[in-house]
Amino acid sequence: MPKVALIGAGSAVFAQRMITDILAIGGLDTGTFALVDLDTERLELAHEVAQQTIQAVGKPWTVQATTQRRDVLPGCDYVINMIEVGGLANVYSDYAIPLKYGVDQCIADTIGPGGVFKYLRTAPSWLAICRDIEDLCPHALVINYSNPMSALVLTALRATSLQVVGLCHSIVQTAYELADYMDVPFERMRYRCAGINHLSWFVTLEMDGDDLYPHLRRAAEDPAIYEQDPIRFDLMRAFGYFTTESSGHVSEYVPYFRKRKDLVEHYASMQPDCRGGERASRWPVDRAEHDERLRDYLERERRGERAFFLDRSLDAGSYVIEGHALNRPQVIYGNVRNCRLIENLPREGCVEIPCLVDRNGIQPIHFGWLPTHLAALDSAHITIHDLLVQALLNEDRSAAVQALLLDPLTGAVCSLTEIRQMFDEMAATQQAYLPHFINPT
Amino acid sequence: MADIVPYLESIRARFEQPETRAAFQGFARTILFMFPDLQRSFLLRIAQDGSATLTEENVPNPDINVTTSSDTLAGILDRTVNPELAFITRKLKASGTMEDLLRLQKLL
Repeated sequence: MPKVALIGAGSAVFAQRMITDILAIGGLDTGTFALVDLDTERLELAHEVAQQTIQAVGKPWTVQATTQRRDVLPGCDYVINMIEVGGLANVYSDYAIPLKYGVDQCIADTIGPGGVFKYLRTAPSWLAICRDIEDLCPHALVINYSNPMSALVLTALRATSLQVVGLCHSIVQTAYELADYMDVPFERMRYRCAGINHLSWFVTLEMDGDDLYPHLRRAAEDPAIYEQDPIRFDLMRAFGYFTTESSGHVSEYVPYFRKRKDLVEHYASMQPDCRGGERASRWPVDRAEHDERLRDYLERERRGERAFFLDRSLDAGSYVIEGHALNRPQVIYGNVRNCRLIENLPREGCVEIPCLVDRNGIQPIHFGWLPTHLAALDSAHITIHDLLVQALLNEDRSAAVQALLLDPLTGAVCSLTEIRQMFDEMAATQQAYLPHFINPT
Repeated sequence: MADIVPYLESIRARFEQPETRAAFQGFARTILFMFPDLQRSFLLRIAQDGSATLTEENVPNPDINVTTSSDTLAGILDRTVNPELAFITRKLKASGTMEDLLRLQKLL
């Protein structure tokens, strides 16, 4: 009878997906969800949705909801983190201030100036949560979904003894996209990925023993296919492999696509998701609309209509719980500590790799060597993650500045002086949400 | 293969409800539903006042293009198929501006 804590459950749409997925696990018929959020209004919405979802599924799970996580952490077997710290208040400045300096980000929540400051806002809360887990349920398996994924997971791995894995949908979603681009049945496609979150690579892509890359390269010659994913196809043409995050988002991880206005416009003309400020402009609106739809579904369910979708998603979280709680082995892609798993990426960095999950927990599978040029692209980011974690744990502002100085896109656009000025301006604007050592002296 | 017409008609009928009309007022768009399994296409025209009509036809440049199987769309409307999952697994493909696609979600 597992107890599952959802920290940041006020992300009610995501929380409901997790709850639905866990309720869909055959044989896991009872348990407790502990919902935690500091925003009482959003917590109440999540609580109502959880209760209604449980009723719709018809399994005797119970729900607790609280703003005080220490009250519910004792006895937890799984802790799922989905916190958002100061997101709505800062999403615009994460985009707009760097844009003044010529850095036109797309999503701006995992790397670059937006990612650095999102980390600095989020990591102190995350670390405090991890400390409470260590104190109150040290054997819990901790699953992180919050961004910036790699740096947050690395923080927990460095600072605690917890078993932590970071999960993201990007690899499996990309696999479906590849099957579609090539018009091959997904079920017959075999693939193996490795790298870092959002910059992992399909190192193997096969069907019936045949390499599918020649087929994919031919597919990319069709403008109707190429224009759906132009940046990833251009990366594949240059580096030989397809990567795991969408064109718009992955364009922030490398220096080639966003350093000039004409480049951004060129790619956005084919794929609107590549435009600048995609998340800053969409997320606040999306969030309100998702909430509105969820409230509508809730009302319809209360009237006896079926409004919720109760099928299990592709998200790996419930598969981790199924593998561990019921000892049904699963293989998922997880973000874990690099203990020589990828030989030519920095030791102790956070890498994304296949993991076996069973009652023994998360067991990453050794990968070997990434092609050198792919490892070089990933290594740059692992160094940045490392500096961010050092900044937090050592209260070292200069390490945070250096993390931004090393960002590939920012460095392609700005001088050292400009990057330091940008950092100072963002720190001043977001001061209320940042740890004290970041604030200008 | 599902008899898709009643399902599409149920989508159109939502535009008779005042709250749906209000939500789509000023959103004059054409949404083309293409069902390769049926080899049929249907056009939902949303008018400026938030009303809508449904006809069986194909047009070259709709504002939003939805391509799926009849079973998938029927499953979504019956709540047995999650549209997000259908989208990710490419069982449902939708093209159009992101703003239009988000508005389309309201119908599903």
